[in-house]
Amino acid sequence: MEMAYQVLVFLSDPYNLLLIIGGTTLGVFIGALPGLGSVVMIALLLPFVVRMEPLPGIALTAVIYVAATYGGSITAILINTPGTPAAAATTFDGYPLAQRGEAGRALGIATFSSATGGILGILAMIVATPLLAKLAFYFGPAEYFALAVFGMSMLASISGNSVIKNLIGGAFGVLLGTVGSDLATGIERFTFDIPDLSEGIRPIQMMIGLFAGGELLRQSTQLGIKRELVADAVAKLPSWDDIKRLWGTVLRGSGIGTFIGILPAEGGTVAAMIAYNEERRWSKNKDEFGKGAIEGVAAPEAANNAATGGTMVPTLALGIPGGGSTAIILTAMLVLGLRPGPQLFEEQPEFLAGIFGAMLAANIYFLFLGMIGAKFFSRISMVPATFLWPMVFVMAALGAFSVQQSLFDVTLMLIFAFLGYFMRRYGYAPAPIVMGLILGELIEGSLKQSYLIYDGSLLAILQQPIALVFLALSVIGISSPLIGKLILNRKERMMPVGDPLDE
Amino acid sequence: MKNLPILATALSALLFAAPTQAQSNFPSQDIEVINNSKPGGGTDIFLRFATAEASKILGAKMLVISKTGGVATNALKYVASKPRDGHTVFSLLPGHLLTIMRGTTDLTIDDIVPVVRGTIDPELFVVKADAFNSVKELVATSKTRSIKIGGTKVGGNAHVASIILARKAGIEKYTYVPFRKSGEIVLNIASGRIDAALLNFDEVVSQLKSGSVKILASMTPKRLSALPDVPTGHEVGIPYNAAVIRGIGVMKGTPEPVIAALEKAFTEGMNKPSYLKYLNGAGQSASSIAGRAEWTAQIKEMYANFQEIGEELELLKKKK
Amino acid sequence: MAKETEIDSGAGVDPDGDPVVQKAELVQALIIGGGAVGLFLLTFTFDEVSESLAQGIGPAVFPRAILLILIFLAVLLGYRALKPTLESAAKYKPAKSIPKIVYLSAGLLTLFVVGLNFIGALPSVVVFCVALSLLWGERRYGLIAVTFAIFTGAVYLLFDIALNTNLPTM
Repeated sequence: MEMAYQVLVFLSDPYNLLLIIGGTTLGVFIGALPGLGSVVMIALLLPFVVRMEPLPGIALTAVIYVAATYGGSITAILINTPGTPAAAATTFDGYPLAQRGEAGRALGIATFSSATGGILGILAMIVATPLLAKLAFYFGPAEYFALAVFGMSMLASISGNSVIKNLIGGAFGVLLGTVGSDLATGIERFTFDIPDLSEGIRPIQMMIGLFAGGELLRQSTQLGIKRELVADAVAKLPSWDDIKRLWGTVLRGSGIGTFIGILPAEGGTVAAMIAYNEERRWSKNKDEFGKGAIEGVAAPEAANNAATGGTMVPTLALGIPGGGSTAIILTAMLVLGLRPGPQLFEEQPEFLAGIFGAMLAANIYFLFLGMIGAKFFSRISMVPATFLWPMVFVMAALGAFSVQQSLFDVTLMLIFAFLGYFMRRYGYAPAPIVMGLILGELIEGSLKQSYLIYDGSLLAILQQPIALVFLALSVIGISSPLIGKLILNRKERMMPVGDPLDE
Repeated sequence: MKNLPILATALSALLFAAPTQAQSNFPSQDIEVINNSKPGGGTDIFLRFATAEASKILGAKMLVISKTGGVATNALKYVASKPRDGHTVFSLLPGHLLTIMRGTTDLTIDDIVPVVRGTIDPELFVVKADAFNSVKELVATSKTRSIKIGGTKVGGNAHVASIILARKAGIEKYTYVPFRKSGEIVLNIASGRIDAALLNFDEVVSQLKSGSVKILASMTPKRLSALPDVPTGHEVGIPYNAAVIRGIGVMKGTPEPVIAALEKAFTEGMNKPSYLKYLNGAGQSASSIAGRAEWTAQIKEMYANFQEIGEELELLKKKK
Repeated sequence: MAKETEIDSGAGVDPDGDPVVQKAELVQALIIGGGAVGLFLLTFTFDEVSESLAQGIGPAVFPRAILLILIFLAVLLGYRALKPTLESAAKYKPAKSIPKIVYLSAGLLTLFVVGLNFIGALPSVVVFCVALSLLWGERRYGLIAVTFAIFTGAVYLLFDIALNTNLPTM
């Protein structure tokens, strides 16, 4: 109650409200631009932030972080280009929805799920930060290894002819993750003596090329096909039925996002991927995923925004940042004379209330902004391909360039564009590659760390209870389609009439 | 609207009249500040604070640009490709010296002019709060089992520092466990998965206050004002100074008056409250700031030290 | 689901109803397998870890394991292409050749990136946008001129002015 009062006090100041509105608008914009993200923006603002009062200053950075995570979904849906890596999973179903002439619906669902996920993540923060922060201590390399394996395990669980191709995509992604100098030995691998590759392939460059570039080339073959899009239908927001249908998805996504966000070695990108996979794995209409399932938009968006609340937990309660943005926020706090840690909650509750309040307000504000914006932005999907795609590629190329002002990055993006086209053409879905790149690095790193920590005994991983649970879940996940088939076969034998696959 | 460029030139001439008269016409355009590591990292943040005031003093915009790759290879190559007129400056760290030693650029140590030093972020020897009471105890344990020392990437600064520390302290058996994010290191110490690590003040301060970790020694010549109760390494048998040192440099060939103008602007800017607040947040004092003379001497000394250790560690082994 | 009829009418079977070798899949298997073998050999050229640093798992172990998995998967893919099941034959569509427009578009993308290096960002943007639009059959010349003029201006304002990016110039 005390907290709620403090939140209201903070939000009743018009200066603070103005700051939140400005920061959120800026954050959504910067998040939507491919290439640039909240890390660059917050770093840019840092010298100004530390000249502000501590609370409004930190609130501004947190608000930009929250809003940019949402902003990434807009370009993901409209032009198949994730604005930030965390929005990669949103393209899988968001873009097909937009292609179908339901851009407004997809944007609306992304906005609703993002805001709900974000708010739930923050509520979890308010209620239980000190408690949740303890969770971070239970996760070491062995546990991360198991969690990453669990994330990858869905690749094998998709039924159908594409299992081999999914696995090939996943393995290729993991291989891409090994490019650069090895964490555990410093030896350069697959860099071909190019210094730009020594730090590895930046996921955003790969995603921009794979998604935007690959889609451009595919579009070139679709020019003759007339798409009849009706403006009113395109701009139509999701119906109440959609929202009702999505509650469970959003809740699950928010739970996964908050949990993974709390783990310092992970972040919104992994959270969104795992949420998407789990939603698909347990969904009744698996086949719809990748073709425009609204659950496929809601799950990752709820998760990556819930993760923003989640990553603030270890930052505030332990002084341990979980990602790039929170690392800068932590620096800003230290410069402003705030010492994060458990004592912060006792000594400066008004500060925490302010942060929570600002993040909540940002979510509520972009809920309105996004819903109104969806009506307008959705019409981008009606722009003729002959105008839209040249501009998309320019934005993608310059976005890739702007991060390091490096033409090498643009070239790399181009290579991935070609690759993206061929992979799509021959039935290799993008999801496994992206997952492989993101989780593969974690798998290799945590495996090597475990090996060193447990004196060369990898069996010790199995002795960690949490790790064991996740590994067991992976095994169940992989074998569940098989088990499912066995059950179906038995049913078939018992009921010889009718096709069991048809339900 | 045709007159706009002329108007702008006139206006800027008016605005920048005072400084431009003093040292020829520097700065005549935006100044690029090249960061060799990722946006949002420690060096990026240092540069943001270092340039905020200096750009006002010089009256020119300063743009911080990341050029990662090959430790400092890409950054140095980029800077070397630009005119040596002071409009391109770069973050100067020990990593640059290692890069030069490895020979991935055509540059030698003499091609670099250190301008100003901005941070000396001392390394602290951190262990779990109830695990070891003293360096002696830790060294004794290392005779029976391998001590797990955490840090960042193998072959990097933290790794080299850890090896030297282990050697100077007489730690017999140890394993270096590399982590991707520095936040993970302190977490794994607090949870007891690893034993120790060299960390900076801002990385441990929260866990220190909550009592989950303990600092056995600071790798500094004198006790730190922020941690008066923590002994120095010299007091407890680790005669070793280590710190994350960051500064700014330019390429040789830059005109002397320009270097002097840059040094003056950065030094003045760093002595403004906002930069001092940044240092204070990282547990440092104003003595971290040093001008060209002191910074150059330190770079030369570091380079000599690296050559000694580098050869020993075979870190410089040329590629086949 | 009318499985039987699908198999009959599928393109993956010969007149006798037996599945045919799936050529496109076989080519993919060869490319992936060959690439993986090449990269596997490349792992033997990695620098050696100096003895004082050697600890834990070596740098080549993990990539080699992944490459072995890739090679195995490629073999599996190849085997299934040579000996397809009726089920996969039903879904199989022999690959049509890649349309010319894809190569032309890809060429323009490459030219754009090359152009960034040589003629600078803004001229490249103008030339690329107009060329791709024309290539794709757009003939509303007035609209092309207006749209891309505004767009180029917006790119300049956004990247050069607002974000302080030094766009490549001549």
